[in-house]
Amino acid sequence: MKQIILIALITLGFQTLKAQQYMDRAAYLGFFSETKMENIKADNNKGTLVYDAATGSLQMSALMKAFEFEKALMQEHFNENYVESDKFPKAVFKGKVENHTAVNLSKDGTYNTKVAGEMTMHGVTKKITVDAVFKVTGGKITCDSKFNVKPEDYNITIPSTVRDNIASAIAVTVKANLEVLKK
Amino acid sequence: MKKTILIILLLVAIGGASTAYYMWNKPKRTAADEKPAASMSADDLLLAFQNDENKANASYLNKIIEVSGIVVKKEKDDSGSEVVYLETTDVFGLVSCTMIPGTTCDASEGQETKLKGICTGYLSDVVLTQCAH
Repeated sequence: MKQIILIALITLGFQTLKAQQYMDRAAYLGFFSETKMENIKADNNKGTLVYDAATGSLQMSALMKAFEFEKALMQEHFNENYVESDKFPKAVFKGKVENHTAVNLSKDGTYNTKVAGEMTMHGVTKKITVDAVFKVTGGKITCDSKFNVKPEDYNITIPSTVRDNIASAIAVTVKANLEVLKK
Repeated sequence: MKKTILIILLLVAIGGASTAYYMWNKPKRTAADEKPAASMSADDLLLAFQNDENKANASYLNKIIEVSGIVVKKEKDDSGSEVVYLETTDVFGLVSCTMIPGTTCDASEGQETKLKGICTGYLSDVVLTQCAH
């Protein structure tokens, strides 16, 4: 009996010690620009988000060409003139969750975190800190984030003729469903 | 003389307006309308990106690529489009093909299929969008 309990405890111990890696390879990334002139929305359902619970490292990546706009013309302008996606195909955020030891993804709950890191887009890397919320409900894990991006910070030049049509700070939304990464 | 000028101006205006209307409402580029620039197995496409991403981007980014492979899974993304994942010899990386909204892939999981789509690049998978058979 004692041996069984001991083995059970050791196994349990290993389970909790083994901090996992989590991933969503079809994460949602969207951005929204709101101005008096017009509203522009784009959705990308092909983002990746990887979270390493052991180190707290969080990485989000998106392919610029996978942002879908309502209008084909807007999508072309976005790719060809603004983000120049032929030259810079990806946007990557690499950061670390500030209080990652408090985030327990094997336990139901809501974990509000701050992630400090670097965003690289259009060939420019900038230090940013974003808010991210991890929610665990019945084993289902989500990671949501909302933050603003200023196009000028990434050398994205918007011609003066349309400057008023695009917000100075673009609202970015990230929604990921995390699954344990089985290597 | 004045009348002729007016008519010409009117025609130019109509021409301009029609072009603007067309440009504003033009349909999105999809693989359905174009011939593929290259055709290969899902495995070869993934390997190309894994071995030399810059070279693969130069060759395939924004082009219509035709891939063949076995369907590992089919899902619907948040916008309701069907996403077909093709198997590779890599344990982790796949080729993901998002079908043109409103269309589906004929093959079921475990079956071989051929799809063509716009190559948008490589993250953990090689991503093709606006895919068709």
